[in-house]
Amino acid sequence: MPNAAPAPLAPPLKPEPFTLNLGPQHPSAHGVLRLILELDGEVIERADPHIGLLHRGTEKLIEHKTYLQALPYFDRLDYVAPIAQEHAFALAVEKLLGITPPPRARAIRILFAELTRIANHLFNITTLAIDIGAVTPSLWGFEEREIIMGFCERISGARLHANMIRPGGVARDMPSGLAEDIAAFTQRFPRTLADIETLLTDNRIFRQRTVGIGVVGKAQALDSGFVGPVLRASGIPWDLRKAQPYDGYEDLLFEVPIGTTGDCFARYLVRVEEMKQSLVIIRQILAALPEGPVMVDNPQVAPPARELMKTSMEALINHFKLFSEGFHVPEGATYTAVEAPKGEFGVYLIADGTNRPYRCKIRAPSFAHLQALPQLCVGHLVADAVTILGSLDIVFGEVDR
Amino acid sequence: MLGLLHHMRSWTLVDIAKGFALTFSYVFRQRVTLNYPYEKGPLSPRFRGEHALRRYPNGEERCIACKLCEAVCPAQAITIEAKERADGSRRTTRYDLDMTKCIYCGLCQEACPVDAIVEGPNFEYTTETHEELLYTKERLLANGDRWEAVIAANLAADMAQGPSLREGEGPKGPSRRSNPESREEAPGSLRFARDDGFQGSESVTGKDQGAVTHAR
Repeated sequence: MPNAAPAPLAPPLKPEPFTLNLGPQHPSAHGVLRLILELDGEVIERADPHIGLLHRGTEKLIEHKTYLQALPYFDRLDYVAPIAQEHAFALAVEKLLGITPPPRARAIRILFAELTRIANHLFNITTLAIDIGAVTPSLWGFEEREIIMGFCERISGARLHANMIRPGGVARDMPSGLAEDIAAFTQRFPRTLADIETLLTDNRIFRQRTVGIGVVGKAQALDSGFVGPVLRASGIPWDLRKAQPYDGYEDLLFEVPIGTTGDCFARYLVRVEEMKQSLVIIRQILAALPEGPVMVDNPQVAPPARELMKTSMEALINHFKLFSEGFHVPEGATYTAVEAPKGEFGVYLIADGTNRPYRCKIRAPSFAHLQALPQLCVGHLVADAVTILGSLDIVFGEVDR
Repeated sequence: MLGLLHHMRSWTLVDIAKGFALTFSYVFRQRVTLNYPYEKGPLSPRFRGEHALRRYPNGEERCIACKLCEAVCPAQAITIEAKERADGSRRTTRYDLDMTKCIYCGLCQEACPVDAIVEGPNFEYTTETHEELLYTKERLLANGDRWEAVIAANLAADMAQGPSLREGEGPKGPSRRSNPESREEAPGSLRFARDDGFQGSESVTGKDQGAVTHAR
């Protein structure tokens, strides 16, 4: 009897993927990310980030502001590390104007750029730890972050939205005693960092949750346009402070940590090491802090000193002109980028010769990192999606702009 | 041998024990939290808080209605109307400041040529309604009267800390030079791209996370 062909089996039942809405109000969504996860059991099959909930139209807004007025809006992009954004815009305007700030202003800028890098990385690694379940490091880390924000307040008057770096220099000189206190901070901070590392680096739970999670290879990192610590954790030595130094980074000795594995743990390690390197930079700046003015000597750009403005008619006229009409920037375009704590933060500025930018495109590192999130999450568990999101260091102020 | 050590560590929970011990040791350290509102942290003289309109010591208001703050305000929070007074001096008839639009950038006080509008040291002015935050000239002057002693002291302290100088106006100092520091070795799976030969070669083979190499 010939073998009868077996009746075709019905295809195995595949349940509809379960759709989970993570955020935008979830604390681990780091702001206002709405992440739609399609799950097979607890395994992510598809992740779909929805952005735009924090869109404020910054780029368009800047076209309607003078160059001085546009500056505070940069503080509000990456509000975890505001000074780096100001720095990029000020450098872009200076490039178009063809001016160079005096040495003391440049030193203060990179001093605070590095302080803000420490503040950013402290925020990132401690909130990553919270997402994983370790609350204690954040309590210690935020204590140090508070000290850094105190430094910002002493030089500018605001803890976060400093409005401190201006085209042509910085708004105010450091008050007396601030340099000494920052030096004291560089002495005490390594101890706290060591404590945080004791809780995290060797901790088996932290390692189990981060090692091998969200691995980004070199090719993928480049294809996705990764920058900053996330790129370096994948093993690519690229740091704008070394590759195209600005404001005197070329004179400083520091090292750029490079990760080897490209996973969440490597990104954590890179950030920890970058904080240590930032301390090295800060110590070097403080050891050779130049004296002198903090604003370029160019009445076209820099307002006169307050004492002079109150006694000299010409200075008063100059003061009125600069604070009402603002300075004119010659026609031209520039893409100027700084190594912000999250990576390359670039400003593409087109000037048309008037007192307002014609166009200001902002290249935010978090945006590039977020767009890789769907690929990184696939195949991981729901809890790992939170870890990956935390390790990418995304701030929605600059994603949505 | 290394494997044995790893197992020992794994079974004795030494990483967890170290963490707990360290956390517990913080019980004996000095408390860093503040019992707000009974205790408050320090504020710098430059702190940018609630606005105030100041007066001269003889009671005359400082503001001369030059509208420079209105012009420079990025958030367009200030509205000024002005008229000549009976004695011929120019004063504001209206000085409205929408505190809910203000972004506290401090440009108004930088622009003010007579130190009239300032951002004072007060940060405790929350209200229950939006309308209460639409400040009028009377409210701002009242703020000035209330905080004048602190504001004047802050301005004096800030001046004593050194005026802001422009290039060519102040003392010239030596230019910055680089100051090499000893390079520190670091734990973890990191290597360094050194100053020399930044695009370093790949030389990491360690399968453990504890490998450190340096690209020269």
